[in-house]
Amino acid sequence: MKKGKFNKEIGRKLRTIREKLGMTLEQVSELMGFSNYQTLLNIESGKRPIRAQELSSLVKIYCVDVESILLNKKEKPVTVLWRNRNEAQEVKQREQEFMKICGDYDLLEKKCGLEPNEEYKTIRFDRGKLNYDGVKKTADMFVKGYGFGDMPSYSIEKILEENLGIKIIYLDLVGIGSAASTIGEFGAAILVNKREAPWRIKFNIAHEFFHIITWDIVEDKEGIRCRENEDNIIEKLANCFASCLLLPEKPIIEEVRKRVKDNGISFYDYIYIARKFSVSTEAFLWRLVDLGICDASEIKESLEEGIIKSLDKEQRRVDWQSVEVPIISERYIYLALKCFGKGLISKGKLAELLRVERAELPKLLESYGYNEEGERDIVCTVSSRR
Amino acid sequence: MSAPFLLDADIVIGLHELGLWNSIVGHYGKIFLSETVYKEPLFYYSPTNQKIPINLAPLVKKEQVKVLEGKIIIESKILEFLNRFDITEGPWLHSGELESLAIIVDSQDLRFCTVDKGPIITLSMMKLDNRGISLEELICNCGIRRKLEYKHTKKYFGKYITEGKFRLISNPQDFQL
Repeated sequence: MKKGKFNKEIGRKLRTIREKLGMTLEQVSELMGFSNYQTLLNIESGKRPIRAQELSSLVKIYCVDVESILLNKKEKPVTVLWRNRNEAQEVKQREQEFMKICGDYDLLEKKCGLEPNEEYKTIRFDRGKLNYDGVKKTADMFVKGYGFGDMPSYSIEKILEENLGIKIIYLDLVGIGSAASTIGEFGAAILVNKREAPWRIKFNIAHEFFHIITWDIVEDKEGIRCRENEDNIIEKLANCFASCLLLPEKPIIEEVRKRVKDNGISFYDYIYIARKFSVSTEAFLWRLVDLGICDASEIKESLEEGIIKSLDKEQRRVDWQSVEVPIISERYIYLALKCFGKGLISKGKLAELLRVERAELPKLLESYGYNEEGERDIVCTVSSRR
Repeated sequence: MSAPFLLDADIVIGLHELGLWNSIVGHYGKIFLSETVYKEPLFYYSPTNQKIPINLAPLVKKEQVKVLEGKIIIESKILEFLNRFDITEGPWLHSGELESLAIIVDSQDLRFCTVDKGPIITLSMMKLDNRGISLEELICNCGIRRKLEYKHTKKYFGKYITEGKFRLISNPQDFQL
C-alpha cells in the first residue's frame, strides 16, 4: 500500500473508533497533550502521518489493540447487557475497555494453547422454567451439581471462571452502571463494579450469571436493556436466582436454627450470618422470607425502621475496607505470566495487560512471586517432544 | 567503537540501578532511544528502595541521547509478519517495542539492546539476530565487569535468539518490507 493511502486508512480507522466511543476531537486532543485539535484532525484525514508514539498513546486512550489499527482486523459487534446503566458518555468507553480485556483474556488463553472453555453452553435453561419455581430449582441444582459448596459466595468467581469458562472483569463503574454481561467471540463475560461492596459484587456476579445461562432463550434483548425498570420480570428472576444460588436452603436453615432463642433471632445474629455467607443483610432477610422462615411484613418493617441497616453498615466497615478488588482475575494473571515466561508476550505488553506502568512491572512481578531466575535451565538428558 | 545502540526501557532502568548509566553514555558518546521509550515515565529503585525518576531531557539537549521515531508502515509489516505464525508462537508486542523494532529494521547499523524476550525472539524470527545485543555485552565492551542478573546476560539473550530460530524453523516465514 502506498504511503499516502496507508496514512488515510489509519486516519479513517482512528476517526471511526473515536466517533464510536462518542469522544470529541477536543477531548482526545487534550488527553494526547496536543495544543489544539487541528493535529488530530490532520491525522484523521490522512494529511499528517501519525507518529509511532502518538499511536501508542491513542490505542491506550481508545482501549484498542494496535493490530486493529495497523492490520485489517475486523471485530464483530457485541451486545452488552447492562444493569442500572446510566446515560453517561463514559458508558461506551467503559464498554470498550470491557471488550478489550475480554479480547486480551481470550488471546492469552489461545496463546497458552488452551482449548476454549465453553462449559457454560452446556447449561440448558429450559424456556418453561422461566418462572420463580423453575429458577429456584435450577439454582438449587447448580449449588449441588457444580460444587459451589455450603457458602457459594466464596467459590462463585472460581467456579464460573475455571469450570464454566465465564470471564469476570472488575472495573470502576461509578456513575456508569452496576454490572453487565455479554457473549461474544471471546466467550461469555461478566463485568462488575469494583467500587461496590464485596458482597454486592458477588450478588451481581450471580445475577449476571443468570443472564448468561438464559442468553439464548430471552429474545427481548432490547427489553432487558431497559433493566432500570424494576418491574422487568427477567430482572426479578435474575435476583431470585442470585439469592437462591448464594444462600442455599439447607445451610441457611442450619445457621438460623443454631441461633434461635424464644422464637426469635437478634439483629446482630442476622447480620453475623449474612456476613458469614458474604451477602447483604437485606438479601439474606428476604431469602428467609422466601424460605418461609420469616414474615415479609415484619422484615419490611424492620428494614424501613433503619436500625438493622445502620448496624449492618457499622459492622461491615471492616469487610469493606480490607478488600482491594483487582481489575483482573487470578486466572488472567496466571495466563499472562505463563505467556510472558514462554516469550509469547513482551514486557511492555505484559505491563499493559496487567495495567501497570512498565517501570512498576518488576515490583508487581515480585508481588506475584514471579522471578525470571526461575526460567534458568538445568541440563537434562531427556530429549524434547517438540 | 562498535555499532551504535538503541536501548530498551529496561536497559535504561537497569543501567541506572547498576549505577552504570553515566559510564555507558560517556563511553559510547551517544546512545539512541525510541520516542515511545523516551516519553514513557521512567524511574528506578535505589538499593534503599527509593523510587527515583529518570530525566533524560538534559542528555537529549547535550546530544548524548538521540531520540528516533519508528515508521508506522514498518510496524504494520512486522505485525503482519508475526501474525503469519501460529498463535502459540508469534510474540505479542506492545506498540513501544514495535517502534524499536521498526527503527532497527529501518536502520543500517543500529543494534537493539534489550532484556525482553518477546523482542529478542522477534529479532531472531526476522533473521536480524546479529542486530541485537545483551546488557552484558554492552557493558563488557566498555571494559566494565559486573555480576549481573541472569536476564542481563549474554546466555539469556542467546537462549531467546535460539528460541526464535526454533520457531522460524518450525513455521518458516520471510520478513519482507
